[in-house]
Amino acid sequence: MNAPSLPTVDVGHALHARLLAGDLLTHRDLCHAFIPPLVAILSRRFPRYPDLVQTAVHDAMVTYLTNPSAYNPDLLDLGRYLRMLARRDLLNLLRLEARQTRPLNPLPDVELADDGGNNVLDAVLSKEEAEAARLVVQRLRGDLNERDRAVLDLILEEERRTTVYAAVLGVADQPENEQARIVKRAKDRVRKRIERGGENHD
Amino acid sequence: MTDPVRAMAERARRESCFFGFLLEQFARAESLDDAALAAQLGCDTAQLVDLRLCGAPRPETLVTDVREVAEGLQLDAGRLLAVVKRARVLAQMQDTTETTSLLMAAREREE
Repeated sequence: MNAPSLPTVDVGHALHARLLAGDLLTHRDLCHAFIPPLVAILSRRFPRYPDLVQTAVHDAMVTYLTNPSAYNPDLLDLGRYLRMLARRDLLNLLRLEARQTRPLNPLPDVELADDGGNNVLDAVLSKEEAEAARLVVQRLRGDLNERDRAVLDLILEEERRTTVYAAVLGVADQPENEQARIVKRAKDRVRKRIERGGENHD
Repeated sequence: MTDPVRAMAERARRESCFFGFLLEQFARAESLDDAALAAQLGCDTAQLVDLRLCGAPRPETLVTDVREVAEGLQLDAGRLLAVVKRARVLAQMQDTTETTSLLMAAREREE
């Protein structure tokens, strides 16, 4: 059986608009459209934690439904936004569980496929290095403007498509070579900040 | 693992942004299980999943909201509205009881 796939960008935008307009049936439609694919995607990456995956996806949906205006459709499509929320909640749940069960059940092998998150850092770096990396990301998040923060999230997700970065940067209507130039500059800028440990020396 | 959408409907019982929250208040106060609640609404238990996942009706547009949800899920609007109104009264009564208890406790402390 094929795994459920996330709705298209247009479907996400339409559902978001209905939600903002106050259509109460939209809650149900969002749950049916997004929860199964999000659970499938995160379950592939975190196969040992099905219950936590489900809880994280539910948490993400409740967060979005409670405050839909926190989502900016101009920066990110709804599927990616919900996935980011769910992934963040899942990593928090995993950290909580790891703290409760250490040293019997260490965290490193929780994620099969690397999708660039902090627990991946836990897997490949020492505890001190992973903590330092987390602090850098945390500092950067507080320091970057909204667009660069979105670029940072895409980098951490190992997104490679220029079109996705271009949409986030609001230059999707520019010619391709111009998009590529702007995207490269933004990625370089954020990467440089990461390399400098989150400090801004520009 | 359970069906994640059904599991979300279960979670909706305790999340105030969902219709399921009001239904839960009503069902608890009336000691109804899913079958009895569905019978009260004139629907089957499978429809309860979708109903729980809808957004909670807003006080300022209560009647319109309930009608729209009922229409969208092909439920009896009259029955649904009666349940929602009763759930709201029960919630208000509970709030009043809690406030009274707090006031009485505060007064006892003062005396």
